[in-house]
Amino acid sequence: MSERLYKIQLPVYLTALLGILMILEHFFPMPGVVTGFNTTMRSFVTVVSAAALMLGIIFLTIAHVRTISGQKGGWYYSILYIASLLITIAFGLMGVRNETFLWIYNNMTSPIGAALYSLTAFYITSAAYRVFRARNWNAAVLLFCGFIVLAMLIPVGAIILPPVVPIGEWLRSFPSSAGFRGMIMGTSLGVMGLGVRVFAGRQKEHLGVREERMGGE
Amino acid sequence: MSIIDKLVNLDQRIIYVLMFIALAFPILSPVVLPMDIQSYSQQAFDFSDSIPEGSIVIFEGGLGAATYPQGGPGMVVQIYHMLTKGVKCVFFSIGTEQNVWTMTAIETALAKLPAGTPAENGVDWVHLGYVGGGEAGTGALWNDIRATLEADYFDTPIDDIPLLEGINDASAFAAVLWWGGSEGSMPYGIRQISVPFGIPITGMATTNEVPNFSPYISAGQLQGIFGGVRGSAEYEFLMNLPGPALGQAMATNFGGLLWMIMVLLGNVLYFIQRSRGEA
Amino acid sequence: MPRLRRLQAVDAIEEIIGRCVEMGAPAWYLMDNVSMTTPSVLAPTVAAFQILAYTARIAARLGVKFFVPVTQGLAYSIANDIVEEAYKAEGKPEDFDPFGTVMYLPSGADRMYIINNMWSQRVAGVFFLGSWYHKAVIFTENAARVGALTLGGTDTTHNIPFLVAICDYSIIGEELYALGAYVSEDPTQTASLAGQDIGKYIALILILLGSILATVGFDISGIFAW
Repeated sequence: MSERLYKIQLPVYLTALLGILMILEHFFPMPGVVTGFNTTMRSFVTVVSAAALMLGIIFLTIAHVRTISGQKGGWYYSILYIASLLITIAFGLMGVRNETFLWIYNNMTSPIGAALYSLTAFYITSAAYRVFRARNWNAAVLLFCGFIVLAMLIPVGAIILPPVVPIGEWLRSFPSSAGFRGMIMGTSLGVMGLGVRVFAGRQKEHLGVREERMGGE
Repeated sequence: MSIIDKLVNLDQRIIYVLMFIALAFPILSPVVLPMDIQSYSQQAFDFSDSIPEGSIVIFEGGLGAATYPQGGPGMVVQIYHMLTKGVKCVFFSIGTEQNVWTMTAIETALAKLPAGTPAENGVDWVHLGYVGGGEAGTGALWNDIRATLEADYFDTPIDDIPLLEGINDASAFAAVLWWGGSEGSMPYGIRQISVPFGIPITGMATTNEVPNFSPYISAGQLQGIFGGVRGSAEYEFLMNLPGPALGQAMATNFGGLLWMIMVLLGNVLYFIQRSRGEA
Repeated sequence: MPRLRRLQAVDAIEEIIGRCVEMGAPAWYLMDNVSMTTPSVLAPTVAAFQILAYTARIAARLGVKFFVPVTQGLAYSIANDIVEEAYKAEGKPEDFDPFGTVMYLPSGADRMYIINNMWSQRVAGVFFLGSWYHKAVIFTENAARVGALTLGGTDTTHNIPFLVAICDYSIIGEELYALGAYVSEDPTQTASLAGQDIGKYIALILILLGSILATVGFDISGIFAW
C-alpha cells in the first residue's frame, strides 16, 4: 500500500465520509443505525483526545528531562514539573474521586488557573493605557463607545453617569449587534468554505500534510 | 526625559500594582457601592422567576476553573432559585472540566437551601454528566437521551432515575438554562434545543462574550443573559442572597474606574505631546 | 483562478519574518485554543495550520529560529508534522528541533512560559492566529511591550477588537480562512473564496428583502413555518 494512500487519501475519504454523516444528522432525522454510528464516533473523539493528551505529556516530559540532563536554564523547575506530574498521576490512578487528588485539583490547580485567568485584567489595563488613544476620528469614536459601554457595565457607572445606560444599551443592541451579525455571517461562510475544501481533499493541513500544488491537481 | 514622556512610557509594572490595589482593596476591606441592574440581567431574572412550579428545566453547566469565580456564584443562585420554586433541574455539561464544576455548584447550592426544600438526587435534580461532541452531542442527547447516555454522573442507570421516567427528549422541559461561561456554546442550546423544541432559553456568559449574544436577545431567541461577575452579583442582589459575586462586583467597580482614569490620562498626555509636535 | 485582492497579511508575514532575520531574533507562532475535538475551535485551528505551513516555510528558508507552542496533544502532533515538513521542503531538516521547535505546553502552564520567554528571548515577530480567547490580550500586549512586530487574527468575534487594537497587523474573522486559501495558490481553494463572496451577496439581498418586508408589515416567519 503506497504511503500516499494511507497517509493522505484514506484519511481524506474518511474525513469526508464521517463529516457528511455528522452534517446529515445535524439537519435531518436519520435512521437509528446512523445515529448510533455517529454517537460511537463521538465517543471515539473522547478516547483519541485522551490518547493525544498522553502523547503531549510524554513529549513535554522528554523536553523537561532534556533540560535537566543538559542543566539548561531553569532546570530545577523541570524537576518540580516531573515531581508534580508523578504525584498527581499516582493519586489520580487511585481514583478520580480520591480525596488527595481532588484536594490537589481544588486547592492548587483550580486557584492557579483562576489566578492566571485574572492576568487579563492587568494586561488589558496596560494595553488600554498604551493603545486606546484618539489618534484619528475612527479611534476617537472607538474610544467614546468603549468608554460609554464600560461605564454602563461597571455596577456604579450608571449611578455616577445615568445617561450611559440608555446610550450604552443602544450601542450594544444596534450598531454592535449589527456588526457582530455581519461578522458571524462572514465567519460562518468561511467555515463552510473550509469544510468544503477539507471534504474535497483540497486542504490537507489537518493531516499534518502540505502538498505543493502540481499543475492541474 | 520630561515628566510627560515618563508618564507616556510608564512601566507597565506600575499599572499592574495600581490595578492590584484597586481590585484587592474592596475585597479585603468590603465597600458596598450602589448598583444598577442591567436590562439583560433583569430580563433573565424575570424569565427564570416566571418558570412555573413543578416544571423541569435543562441546565447546562459550562463553567470551568477559570470562569467559576465569575459565574459560579450566579449559577449557585440559579440552582437555589429553581429548587426553592419547586422547579426540577436536569444538569449536563459539554466539557469534562465543566462537568466537575457543575457538581461543585450543585453541592454549594444544596448546602444553602432552606431546611425542608425538596432536593433529592434523582427526584428533584439529576446530573447527567459529561456529553461529548459539543453541539452535535447536545443535539443527540436532547433528541434521544437513552441512545446517548446510559447512566448519570453517579453511574445510576437512566432508567432507574425517577425524574426521567417517560422522558427521552427535550419536549418535556419548560426552559433551558445555559451557563456557558466562556465556552461560547450558548448557540448550541439555541439551535439544538430551544428552536427545534420551542423551549425558551436564558443563561450566563462571561462579560466579554455578552455582545456576541445581543443579536440573539434582540431577536427574542434568548431571554436575557447574566453577564460575567456583574450578572452573578445582580442575581444575588435580586434574590437577596449576598455572596462572593457581590464582593467581586465591588472590585470590578474600582478596577473599571481605574481603567477609565488610565485611558483618560493616556489621552490627555497624548494630546499634550501632539500639541508640542512630539506625537 | 479568480482574481483576489492581495491580503495585507501576506506582506505582513514576510515583513515580520524579515524583521526577525535583521534582528537575529526568533519568530513565534501562537494559536491559543487548538482543541481538535471542539467544532467551533476546529475550523480556525485548521485555518491556522494552513497559515503555519506557509509561515514555517518562509522562516525555514530565511533561517529564522521558529517556535510554535501548542496546548493540545492532537494539535501538537499535527503542527509538528507541518513544521517538520516545511523545514524538509526547504532543505533544512537539521534546523528543525523535534522537541524545541514545536512544543506542547498544557493550557494554563503556557501563560507564564510564553510571557517569560518572550522577554528572555526578545522575540522580534509573533503571529497570533487561530481561535483566540482571553489570552489574546495577555500575549499580544506582552509581545508589544517586548517590541515584537505582530500579526493577529481570530474568528472569535469578541476578541477581534483586542487583536486589531494591539497588533501591528490584523486579519478579521473570515480573512483567517481566506488567508490560508490565498497563500496556497490552489485554484480550487481560491475559487471557494469567490463562492463565499457569492454567499455573502445572497445574504445581503435576503437581509435587504427581509428588512423591507418587515418594515411594510409582512409576516416573514410564516414563510418558514413548515
